[in-house]
Amino acid sequence: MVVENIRRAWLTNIVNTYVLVMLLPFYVVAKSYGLVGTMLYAALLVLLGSFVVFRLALRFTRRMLRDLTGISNFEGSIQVLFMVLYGDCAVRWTTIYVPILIFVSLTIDLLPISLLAKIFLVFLIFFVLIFVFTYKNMRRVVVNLDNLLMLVEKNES
Amino acid sequence: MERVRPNFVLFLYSDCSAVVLLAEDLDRLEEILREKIEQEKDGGISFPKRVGVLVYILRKVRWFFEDMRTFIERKDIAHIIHGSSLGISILIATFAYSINMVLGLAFLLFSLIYHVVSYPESVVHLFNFYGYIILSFANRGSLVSIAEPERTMRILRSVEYVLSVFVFGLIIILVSPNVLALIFEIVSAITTSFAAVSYYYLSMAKSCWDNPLRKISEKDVFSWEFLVFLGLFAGSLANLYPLVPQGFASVFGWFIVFLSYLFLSAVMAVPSLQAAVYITTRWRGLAARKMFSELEKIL
Repeated sequence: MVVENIRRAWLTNIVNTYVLVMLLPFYVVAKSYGLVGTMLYAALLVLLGSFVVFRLALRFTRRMLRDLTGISNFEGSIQVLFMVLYGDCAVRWTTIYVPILIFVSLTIDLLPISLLAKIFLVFLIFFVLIFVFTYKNMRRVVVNLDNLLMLVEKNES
Repeated sequence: MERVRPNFVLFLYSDCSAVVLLAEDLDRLEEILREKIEQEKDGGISFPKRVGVLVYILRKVRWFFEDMRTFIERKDIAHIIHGSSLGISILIATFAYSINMVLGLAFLLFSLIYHVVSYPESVVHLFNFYGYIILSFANRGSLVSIAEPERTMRILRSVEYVLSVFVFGLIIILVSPNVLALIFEIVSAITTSFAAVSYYYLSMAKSCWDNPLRKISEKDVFSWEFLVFLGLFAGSLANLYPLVPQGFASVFGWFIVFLSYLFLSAVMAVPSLQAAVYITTRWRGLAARKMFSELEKIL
């Protein structure tokens, strides 16, 4: 479970950063070209996007492998503990991130403002949400880490 | 030159007379056999009986069904065969429903009950898919834990079963629209799109476990698993497209966004699966080495 949680933490960061950036133009495409445009963009994304993300994932995996193979004493490593905690709580927030994005964009679509303002508002809310979720994840990890360290101190004393 | 001993000469004489006697017996036996063959029909040569065209066709059909039975009874594909039979049954029920509502519903009910009775594992497969894949994806954002290869195999079998049932729902677009066809079509399209993603992810996880030291590369994107995954995904989306009601295009658009997100994240997760399996193997190796060195110190 240790490696699985580290993998999840790593994957959540990559998926949040790159896949969401790839998905953002959907809103513009849907507004400008309708459902047919959305379908075409989805087809393009699935065909070409999968190759791009696979290549990106390979490059980042090499970095993850380098970092993890460098850890010889993984049992006492605070770096490993941090990644495990991050992997445990980060994904819980990320899973509800996409439905929130869908709900927000559909709600903004109902507002009586220009298309440009709608797109700007959607992008702004997306990035604010990314910031809020990242902060919440980090906060939770730090709180859990503090609790664990206090428990260790109590046991040692 | 060495002299030949008299007792050896006697032995040679007696041996030659025995050979002469044996040759005479063989000649007599040959004559008897020739006489017997001449008495036989067709000079003793028997030809296989000529069969009629009907018998020949029936024999071929029987062999074909015996081959089919051997194929169906294979344990490794039993879940796919049972799943396909249920999918075909539901397809027939929807056809029947368009002709006669009661007949269609009765056949559907009979198929479902018969399937559950004849293949009780179907309930486990459905529970694994909806209860484990969908729920664990919602809760943990991950389809399977890399720490348990047995579970990966078990869930993969369930996904194959679900795919074999609902893949037939994608051709229901050809049936004249009715309530049953519409329900089966929508459920099939959504389930197939999720199952296609899960199938790719789990099959890649299995291949990673089979060889933890395998070097993953861009060639893995061109695998047949990816083609199946892509084909089913595209098929299910194409199936949903004509069903979108007027004014709900944006909702459907976002559904496509969500599925594309799922698709890309599954593709992106594959290299990390291989890396995680490699790291797990390496760390287990390090832990084992540490344990042995401590044991050596004690002993």
